[in-house]
Amino acid sequence: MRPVLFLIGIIGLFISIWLTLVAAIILVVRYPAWEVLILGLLVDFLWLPSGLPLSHLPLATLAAIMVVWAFEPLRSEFLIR
Amino acid sequence: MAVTALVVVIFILDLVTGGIIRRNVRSLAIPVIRISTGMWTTVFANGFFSSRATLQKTIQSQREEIARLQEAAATYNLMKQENDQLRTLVAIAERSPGITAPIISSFTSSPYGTFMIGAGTADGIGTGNLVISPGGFAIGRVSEQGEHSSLITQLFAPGTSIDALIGSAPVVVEGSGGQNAKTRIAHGITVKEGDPVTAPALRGREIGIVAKVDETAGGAYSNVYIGLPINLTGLQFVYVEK
Repeated sequence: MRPVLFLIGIIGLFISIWLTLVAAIILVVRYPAWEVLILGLLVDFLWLPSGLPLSHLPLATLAAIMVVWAFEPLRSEFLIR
Repeated sequence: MAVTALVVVIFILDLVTGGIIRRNVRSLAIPVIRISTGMWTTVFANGFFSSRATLQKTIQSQREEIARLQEAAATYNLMKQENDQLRTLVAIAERSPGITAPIISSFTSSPYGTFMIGAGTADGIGTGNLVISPGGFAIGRVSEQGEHSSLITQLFAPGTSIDALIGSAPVVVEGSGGQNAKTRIAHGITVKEGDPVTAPALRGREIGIVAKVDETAGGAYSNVYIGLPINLTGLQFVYVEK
């Protein structure tokens, strides 16, 4: 399931960002998914113009780091492993 | 933790090297983008999903015949649409120098209001070149270019702003993404839906039209919502002014 979700996230990079978003959310809710960091990085590398960080904040990477770490306590608490 | 650190290091390396990593990622992704966008267009343009329920009710031979005809019609429509867009771009090309470039990515792929075109430095494209729709609306600027592809940032990308005129009233238009933007205009200045919005900095080109005027915002200003009167997702070509 985890590789499939990652693959869906990758496909979403080229078709619709919503697909990537949904895959990333499912991944971080269900797994301690480092793949989401890769997805966030790829979104920024593909679609964000390079430049000064202030004018082009890598929001996808930052959001990915935040959700991966923010969901960790939630997963530990509620998820049956 | 290790992956997080790795991601941060990769990002910093990219910043330090002036975007070398992302340029390589993009150039590797271009063939995939071309294929996936082509497949996406083909799947949804041939009417397979929209007519599936109907087709299931017909007998097998009728279904095959309808599918064949639909495919032929979709192909015809795509070619006609492509032809129409190219014809209008020829008219623009007669007025200002530039090149016609295919759009190679989906408009819904990017959360930053960017898209890719299939022309780059090899075609003489430079940073800041204006990108124009077949209808003559300025829709973006070249942000980065590779050898055979360029990243375009839409004028109405989230977080962007541009000085514009509605009629003769100067305004600052703020992009909201999704080919929409908004601005504020003082009460007393008459603005109505459909009024063109032009940008003096872009040689007076139209960047959108007034979609809605909300006078109930309170204070001395009305909120004016601006949109592009074209469906960007249906575009196949754009004109890049040099």
